[in-house]
Amino acid sequence: MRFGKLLSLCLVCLGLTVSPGSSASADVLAGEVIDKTNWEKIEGMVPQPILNYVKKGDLAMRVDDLAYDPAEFMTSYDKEHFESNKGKYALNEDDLIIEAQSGKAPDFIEGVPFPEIDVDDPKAAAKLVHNHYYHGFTQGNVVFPYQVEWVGRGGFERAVEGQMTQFPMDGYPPRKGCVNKENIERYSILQILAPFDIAGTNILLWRYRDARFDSTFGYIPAIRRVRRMSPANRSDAYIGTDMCVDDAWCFDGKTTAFTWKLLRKQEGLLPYGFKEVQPFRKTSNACVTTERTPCLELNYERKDAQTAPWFPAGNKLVWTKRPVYVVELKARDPYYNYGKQRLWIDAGNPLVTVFKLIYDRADEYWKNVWLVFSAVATDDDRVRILATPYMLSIDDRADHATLLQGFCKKNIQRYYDALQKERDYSLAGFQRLCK
Amino acid sequence: MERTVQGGARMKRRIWVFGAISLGLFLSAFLREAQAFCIDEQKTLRVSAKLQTRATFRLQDHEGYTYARATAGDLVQWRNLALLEINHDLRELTNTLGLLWPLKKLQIESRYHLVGRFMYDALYNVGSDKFKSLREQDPENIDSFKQAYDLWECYFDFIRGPWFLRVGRQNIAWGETDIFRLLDGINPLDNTFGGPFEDLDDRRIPLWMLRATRDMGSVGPLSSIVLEGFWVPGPWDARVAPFAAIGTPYFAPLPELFHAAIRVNTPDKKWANSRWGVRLAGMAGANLNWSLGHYKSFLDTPAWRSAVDENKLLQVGDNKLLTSLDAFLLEGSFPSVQVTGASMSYFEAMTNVVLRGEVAWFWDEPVFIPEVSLSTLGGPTLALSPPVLDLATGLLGVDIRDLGLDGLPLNPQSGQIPKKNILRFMVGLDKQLWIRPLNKKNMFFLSAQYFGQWVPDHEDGMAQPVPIYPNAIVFPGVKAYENSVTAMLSTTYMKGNLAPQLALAYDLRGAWLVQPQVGFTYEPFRFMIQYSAIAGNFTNFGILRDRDQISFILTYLLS
Repeated sequence: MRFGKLLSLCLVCLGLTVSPGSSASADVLAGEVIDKTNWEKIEGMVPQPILNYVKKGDLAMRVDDLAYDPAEFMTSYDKEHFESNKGKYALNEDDLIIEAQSGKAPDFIEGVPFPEIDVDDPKAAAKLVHNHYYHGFTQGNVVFPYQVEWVGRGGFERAVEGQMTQFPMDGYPPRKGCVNKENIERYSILQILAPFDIAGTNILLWRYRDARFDSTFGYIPAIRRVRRMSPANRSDAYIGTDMCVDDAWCFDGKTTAFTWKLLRKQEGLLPYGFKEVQPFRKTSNACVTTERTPCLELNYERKDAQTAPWFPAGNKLVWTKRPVYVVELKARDPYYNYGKQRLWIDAGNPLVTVFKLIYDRADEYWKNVWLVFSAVATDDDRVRILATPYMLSIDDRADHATLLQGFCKKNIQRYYDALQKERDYSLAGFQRLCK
Repeated sequence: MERTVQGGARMKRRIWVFGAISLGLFLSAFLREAQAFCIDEQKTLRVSAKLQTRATFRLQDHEGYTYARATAGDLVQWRNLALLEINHDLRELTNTLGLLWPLKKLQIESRYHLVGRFMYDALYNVGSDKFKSLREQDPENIDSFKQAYDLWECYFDFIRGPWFLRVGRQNIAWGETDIFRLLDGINPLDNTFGGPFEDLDDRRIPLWMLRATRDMGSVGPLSSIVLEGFWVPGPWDARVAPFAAIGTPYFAPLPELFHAAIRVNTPDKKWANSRWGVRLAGMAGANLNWSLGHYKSFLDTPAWRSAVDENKLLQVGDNKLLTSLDAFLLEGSFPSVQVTGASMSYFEAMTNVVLRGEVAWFWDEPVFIPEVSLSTLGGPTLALSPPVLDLATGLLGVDIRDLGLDGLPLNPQSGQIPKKNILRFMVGLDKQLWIRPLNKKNMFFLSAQYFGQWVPDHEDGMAQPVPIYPNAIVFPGVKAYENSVTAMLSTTYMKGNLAPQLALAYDLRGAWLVQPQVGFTYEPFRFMIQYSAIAGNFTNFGILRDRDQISFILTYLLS
């Protein structure tokens, strides 16, 4: 009998040590630092490649509670139409948004189309991604300057300075009633501003609300012309970085070009830029991040860094427990350079995609993308959103990373930018940008 | 070559060079990464710069009439370039600076763009004796040819609603072609430093012009309609493609006996020599871009004819005899040409290909027909016996029998410049594709074009104005239909740091151009090695088939 009890006790202890994630979340407390000595505590709460970084000593995580609830940092337009949009929209067989009652394509969508997600809905994953886009549209016209930096084990290698501007034609309520003959969902322009040899290279994108392929135009300074481009290269590396065009904001592909599956909802550990809300300022024609917004210092900038050079230094990221949706997508295009991809979406604010895992065409793991958010608010608290200080893509095969620096003193992001006009995104407007 | 050195210009140039170098050093002290240097926090005023040196070595000996007697291994170019670029968006300043109040009042957005260019080819200082001696023989021309200090681009943009106006020194490119130009012939090209071996954009010469567009929006099934016009007032700017100085590495292969006779007349700066053009462009559906345009400009190569200086003919009774080569000129001029054309590009979704097409009608384009253009050599002569011709050769230093003459031209007439309407067209495609055995990580970009040319009222005598060695008066013919194809393939490796490219051109009458190159980035440097070769028949670009070369290019980006 005593032997039997002892055996049972051993089996229980064994079970506790080998079952994956069985008590991991209970052990992770705010204020803890997770590193290679105690990585077991977070097993299952982060994607496996990220756990591997911690195991290897490439990454240490500061677990903490945020001083705010990310769910409170949906835009006012998100919140305004949250209730009215419940059950209003559905997806057709092509994963295009339709009115639930009539089955027709809606003339205009205000706010995010799917405020409620049913995990048993076979369309849940595609709906989450539509929300990911429409949430971005509710931030109005955006000007997003950035630096893209190549970082290897030896540290910083090179950088490109650029700027992304976006002009939504759907989702952003002030745009309701505007003429939209071409059925555009959004316009965007990607400009390269430096270095000298590629400065002036600009890409204009028109994305449609229907199933049509994107219209993409490029201005190449070497030929001095605007040239029609194929949208087929969205899985090609962007100017040699570890990201492709579709990796922007974790996912920037056309929803109808992929198949979607919601794998699970679980508890996760997600990185946020800062524990506190950062300052945001209202000017006469935009809401902007400010010079007071701290930059995320990076490991390659410090001689004493202990972890991989492409991560923020000094455990500055705040890793916080969040409910997470895990979504899997696969391109319909047989020539797309990726196999399956998995998105980790913050289920507490399901408009925020934080991780993407990328597998190759043989479905073997290849690389991952991070999108780190940070809450910003004006002094009067009337404008509150989640902005992007940092984006990262790590190619685990090449042991190399590309990071995108978002807001800091040298990059003032602009939201609800009133200076932009739709005409800026016409071909005539695009040509004006060109040398 | 018309540029001349003025008194005091040397001092001015030294100041420019010193100023540029100082500014470069000043900027480099502030720059750690590849960012433009911004004067203000809003990044409205951006300054960027680059330094480049390019050394080119000839890989084969000269042949035929090529006068730059380069041999394999000769340095034929050591071109050094400094570019300083300033871009300033004045939108923010318009709201705060009183001086810009009119712009604010009229709700005009504005910005300006400046590029200073400093170029020096050190070949004539450090190259082989054959090039150093050129300078000794003609210092003024060569000194002017080998260096340039320019406000290269300088324009202001004004935007108000659907209107856009760009005023100043600028480039403009229409059409859909690469490598060869059809509707893209507005700005002249400088082919004196590398000809077809150089990037097209490096050769463009900006012009002082007014350019305006109006966004017309949509009309019926057509959308994104833009009406565009430009005007280069002749009194502002009538410059044309420069002609390489005799003996320089990219001088045309003209017989030596012609050299002394060459006179190139460039258009005067007058209203009649204005360039202008208008274009309508837009889209039909989501996938088709189109444009229709018409412009007036000048071709890049002069129209040649023989010319006689009547004052230097010998009067014999009622007749005049050409007894001295001083009276004989080979005159190049630049009659204006008008071009009407259309272009399109279409994205074909099933094959993921962008199709491009262009057609251009060149009105009254100057052509070369030896019997007409060089009629001085084809008229009646005062026949001379062979011993007398031998004596004349000794006296003149030139054997006039090489010009097809059996005596002295009697009452010689100047040649004419015949003109023809010519149709040129291009069909091309662009495709991005995976060639995974060669590159698992990045796509290849393939671009291919077919060019055609048709002369409706072709004459059998039409030719290229470059004689076929060893006969100074036999020229490669131009047929009623001419065809060529081009292709370009490129990709990147090593996270975009290694960029190989292969360009090919083939004229169906048997001339090849092959140009592989590889570029490497090691921030803030760019290295490139480029091999250029032309082989095959002496036709079209094949006239440069003895100019195979390899270039080493080092670029330093200050920002």
